[in-house]
Amino acid sequence: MTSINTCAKIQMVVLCIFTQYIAKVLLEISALIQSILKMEVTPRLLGDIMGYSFYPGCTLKNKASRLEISALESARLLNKELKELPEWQCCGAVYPLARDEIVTILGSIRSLIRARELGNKLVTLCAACHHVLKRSNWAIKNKKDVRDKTNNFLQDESDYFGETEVIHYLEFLRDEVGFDKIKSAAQGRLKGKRVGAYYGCLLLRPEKELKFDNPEQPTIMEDFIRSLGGQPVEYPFRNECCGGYLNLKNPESAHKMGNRIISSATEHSAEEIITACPLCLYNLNQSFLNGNSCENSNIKVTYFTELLYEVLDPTKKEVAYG
Amino acid sequence: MVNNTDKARILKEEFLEISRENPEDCLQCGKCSASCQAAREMDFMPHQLVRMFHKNQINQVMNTDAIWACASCFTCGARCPRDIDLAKMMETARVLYLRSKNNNLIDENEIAALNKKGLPPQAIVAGYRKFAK
Repeated sequence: MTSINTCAKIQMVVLCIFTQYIAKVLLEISALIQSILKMEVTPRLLGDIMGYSFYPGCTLKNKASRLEISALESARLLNKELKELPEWQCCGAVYPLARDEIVTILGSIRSLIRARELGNKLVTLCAACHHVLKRSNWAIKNKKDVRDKTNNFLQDESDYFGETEVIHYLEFLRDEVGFDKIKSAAQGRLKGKRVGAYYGCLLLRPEKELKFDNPEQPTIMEDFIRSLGGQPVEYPFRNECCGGYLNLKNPESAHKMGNRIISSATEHSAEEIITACPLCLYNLNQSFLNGNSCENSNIKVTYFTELLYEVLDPTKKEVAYG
Repeated sequence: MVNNTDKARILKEEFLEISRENPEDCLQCGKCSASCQAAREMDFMPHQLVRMFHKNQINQVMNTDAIWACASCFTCGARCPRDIDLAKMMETARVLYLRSKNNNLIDENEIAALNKKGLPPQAIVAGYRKFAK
């Protein structure tokens, strides 16, 4: 009897220890799940696992659908998935330069918070959206008054400290896909076509905040053209202003500025101009259509992603838009 | 009774608070004016405007055409040897004008026509941020 009792006691003790151990493991698992839900794990680590969020912005859903479709199709062909950010909000198109305007960056910050929840890098495509999101993020990180005021405004969100990493599609191609991979996929199909990159303003300046490329001697788009088998044309006006939103109030002024860019590119015998900004494309096309000073009028202005898609999928002469 | 000197001083304080840029840092080298693609459309050159900010002539700057010819391309700031962000000063003159006059330079009834003209939504949103408050 005693031996049976001892045996039962031992069984009980073993069971107790085992139950305690199971409970401890369960607790640890639940703590881990909680920390993931609270995003205490570094976004970068999860970003490697979870991929990329994509911020389209208003213009890509409207007049510049070519830019969005060709970019997403190209990413698919390069085996990378860009998932549209849920509940993204309008970036506001221009970064508020007046320090006392906080309300105008709240839309961008909400989008950045959505990306943080997913732990993804946020890939932008429109140059203006990239400019605004990146600068808003920079201000939150580096300016205490902007950070405090913004978090006070956004009481319904958890505090934001600039954790999301914002990258432009060009940086995505260079750093996440790799120009060498594009080069092997493109197989030199551009056959030395003379392509002029038009950077404009919003991707390059201010350098301190955007950290995109050298604002006076940028190279990223030239490297991109080279990877497709094209010959990049470096013309002096590739980083000068196209007139931007001036077209609204003073189209003549914007046309003059656009003409200088087109003339500069054609003087250096570019056959095609590529850009990342829907407004640059509009302004350049406008000055080309209306400008009498533009000598060579058979130059084509396209989005850089259209050129990429054309090269990656040569069976499709044109992207089936919308 | 607030006299004109006091008014100018108050306006200067407001200017410094909104722009967070100091016009006294300017050397008057003129790099900003040489770099500006819109300078040909301006009644005052960008470096002259900085001088006017320095001399507390904010009200005069607010009434120039130059501030509305600026496209906020940030070239002036990128090339300034004194690291002055002139785009922020220009924006401050614009917001001070729009706030004080309470008179927007763009009408909401224009949207349909601008959209029909083919302008991307980006430009229309930008216009409403720049020409209206």
